[in-house]
Amino acid sequence: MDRHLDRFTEKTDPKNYSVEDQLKSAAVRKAKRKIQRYRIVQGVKSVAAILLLVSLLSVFIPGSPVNALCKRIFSFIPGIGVVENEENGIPVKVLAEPVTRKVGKEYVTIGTVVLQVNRITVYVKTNVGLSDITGKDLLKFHSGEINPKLSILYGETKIASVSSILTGADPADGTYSLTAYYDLPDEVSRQDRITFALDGFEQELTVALTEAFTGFELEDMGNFAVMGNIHVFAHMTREGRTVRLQLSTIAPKDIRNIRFAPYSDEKDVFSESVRIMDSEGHTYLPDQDSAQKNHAERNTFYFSIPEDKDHLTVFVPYVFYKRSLEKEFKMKMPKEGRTTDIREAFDLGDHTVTVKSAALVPKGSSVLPEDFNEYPCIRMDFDAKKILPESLEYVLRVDPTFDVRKGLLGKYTGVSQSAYEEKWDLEEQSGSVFVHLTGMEEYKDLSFRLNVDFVWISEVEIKPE
Amino acid sequence: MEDRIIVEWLKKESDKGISALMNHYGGLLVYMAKNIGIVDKEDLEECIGDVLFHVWRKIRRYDEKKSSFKTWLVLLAKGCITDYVRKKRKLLATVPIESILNIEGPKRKEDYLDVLELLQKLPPEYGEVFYKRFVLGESVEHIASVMQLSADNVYKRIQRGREKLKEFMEREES
Repeated sequence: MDRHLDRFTEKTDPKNYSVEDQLKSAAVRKAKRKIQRYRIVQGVKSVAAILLLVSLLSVFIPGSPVNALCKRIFSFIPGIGVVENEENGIPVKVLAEPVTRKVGKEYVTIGTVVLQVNRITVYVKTNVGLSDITGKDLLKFHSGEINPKLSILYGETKIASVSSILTGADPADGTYSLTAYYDLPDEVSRQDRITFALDGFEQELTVALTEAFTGFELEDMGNFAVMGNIHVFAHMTREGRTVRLQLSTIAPKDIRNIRFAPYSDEKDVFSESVRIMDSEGHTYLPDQDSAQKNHAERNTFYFSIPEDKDHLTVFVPYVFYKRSLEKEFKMKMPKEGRTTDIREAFDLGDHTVTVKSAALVPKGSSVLPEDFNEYPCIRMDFDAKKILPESLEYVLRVDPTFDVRKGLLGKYTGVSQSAYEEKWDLEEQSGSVFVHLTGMEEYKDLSFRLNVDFVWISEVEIKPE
Repeated sequence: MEDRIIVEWLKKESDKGISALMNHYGGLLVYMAKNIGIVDKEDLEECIGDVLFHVWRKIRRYDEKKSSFKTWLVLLAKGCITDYVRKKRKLLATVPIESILNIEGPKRKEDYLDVLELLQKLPPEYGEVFYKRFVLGESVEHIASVMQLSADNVYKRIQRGREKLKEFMEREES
């Protein structure tokens, strides 16, 4: 193999190029910080911490013979959901209820604290420090350079976070979220009370940690119902009339974007809602204002229920989710006026989905959706059949992502695209997609991957403990 | 310090490896970044930090059978720096490799490593000019003076090198 380039780089002696010490150390510091963040994100992804609920659960479906062989310890963590313990035998400690402190217009809410061995993870919502920030400083604030730092106090010692991630902020009230990680010395990690201090906020916040509820098998955890392959856990907290319901899930790892509320364009078909019923049969629907006020995340619902009502039961009518097909399909750009027969079928979830055909629809055609009328589009037609007739899973829409082949390198690369994905009829189970690719006249060879949106329709009830 | 030790440290002890990499190659990386158009001090720190991070992330993909570590490093750095400049939209003095190759530019910084093998094949009479111009980002005038060529000759070599690279690519395609 020729290695001519090596010969030239060999001639480049790094010693001939100098760099200031200050720049050197700043670049190294930044690189190390990036590595640290990367490791944390990777850790979070693999260990199942934040949205965690990635599961192994294909082997944990009740009744599976593997289930009996695979005893794992799970903990329920308020504010997060169900997690698999990392360290067998060492209890996970958590904050049982969120804690809020206010000073004037500023506030700090410690929503979740999880202590696993020596690593403590804290999720905070606050608006401290953002009120007077404008312009360029706002960018610095969001990049985490000048935002107030959250520390742990232990006696005279101030423990800084290993890393912290800032997200937000809400333009209405300046609320942003802070996720911070700390590695604690042994003597601190053994404490049941932890004190936090946020720069610029006068009050310290001391929180009490309790052991997380732990079970050896999912069934021990209680609070859950099964919808297809998805275990749905309900966790409820009350403060006066306000009831906060958090639905968390464990599902096979190919299931993504799990949600329990329909999007606005789905409400005509899915008119039911997650709801709560009290012991007297009164039904309560989610309170949107309260959800907005509390910056509710997806799958967290707020209700207004009189304090004297008890024995509350949660009803969950649907679960929406997405699956992606690994396979990549290749096709030629269809010719205008002709339909290309594709007839490729694949199994996904409880369905066999068929890519039937593709056609090039010229701009101005009456078949194009209104917003796409001025652009030529590729129209693709699909249908689906249930593999298991009794399954309660339905295809809701199909969403292709195209790559195009261009240039002499001949690689398929991404291209800017916009798509109109028709919502499928639940009975007919077929539908179309219209996709416009930027500069599509130039491309002949296309490839696409498919994401499929499903809905599982089977109302379940959960009695939170 | 030997490259072999830097590679070993990067794989096993990130802190030590990053510091060693910066101590040994920091000057060259800053030289490239400045040539490619990064002048602001904060941008330089951020961009070089980015290069170091990506070297650490990709180090397990480095294959000594394909290139020396230095070659691999400068190509990866070229991708990272170009990517940074793109993001910052502060392109000042560089000519992107894609405009010379007349191909669609790499979308990801790692793609610069895809042309590594082609650049290795480029005959020495053209390859050195390519290396200086498109990897190190040196100006045509500077190359002409260092290589004792006329600027016109440098351009001609670039042109011939480009044709040669196209030929390699077409051959690979077929």
